[in-house]
Amino acid sequence: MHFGLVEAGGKLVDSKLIKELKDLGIKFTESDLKFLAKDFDKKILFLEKGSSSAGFKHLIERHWNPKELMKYFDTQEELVKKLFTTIKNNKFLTKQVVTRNGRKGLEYTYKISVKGKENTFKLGVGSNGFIVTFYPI
Amino acid sequence: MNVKVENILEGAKFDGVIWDYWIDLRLPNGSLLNVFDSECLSQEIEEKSNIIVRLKALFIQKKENADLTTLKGIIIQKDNLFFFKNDLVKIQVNEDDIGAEKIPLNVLTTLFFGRIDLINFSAIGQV
Repeated sequence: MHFGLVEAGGKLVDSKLIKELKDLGIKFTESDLKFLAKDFDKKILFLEKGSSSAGFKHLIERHWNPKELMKYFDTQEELVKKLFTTIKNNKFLTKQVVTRNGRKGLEYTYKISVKGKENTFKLGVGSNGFIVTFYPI
Repeated sequence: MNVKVENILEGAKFDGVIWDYWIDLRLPNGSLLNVFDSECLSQEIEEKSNIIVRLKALFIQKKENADLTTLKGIIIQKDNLFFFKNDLVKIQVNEDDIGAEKIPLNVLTTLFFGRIDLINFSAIGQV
């Protein structure tokens, strides 16, 4: 179940973006969506519950600890909302296509202001817009 | 710093693409140090091999935290870079942390480390 909240910057899960994603033929699990947002280039990125290897579950299992994301965010909900508003409202610092194992993905870096300080984060995204991973750098 | 690579584990993986790895490095005193490899350098590293690594800490702090990696050593400056150093490890650290935490240079200090990242490596014997 997604948050279904209306944030200052818009809905975390917007039915218009869901339709756009469906029209593009991209596979996703609607009930597992945490958010969808268009990046600065209007590409739809979406965070799903995912698995231990990718998506929200991966972020939590691998990077939600005091050595990483917990240093910057007080709650997982805050993390999700900040990531959503950052993708939606801010231009990335960098965006590049990365090729690994012969397959392509997208690697973004973003500045996110947390606890009065700007920090840099890396966002790994599949070619279909699925958010694979997210961590501070 | 010279280490032995004990284990290499896949991190994020999606649609056949591995995005990163986690590596257990065996230090000369036998202890293990878990490091993050965001650049997939591990694809060129063999388990059980001895390598020379360059590491960087995401952050350091003086405030005690049992959930962080605890190391005792000194902070040194080389050119414009800062490093934590003791008999076992040398880890690049952020200048901002040194200022914010008021960590003195060249004074033995117990520090608490966030995630430690692999920056690059070379095989023993290679330049």
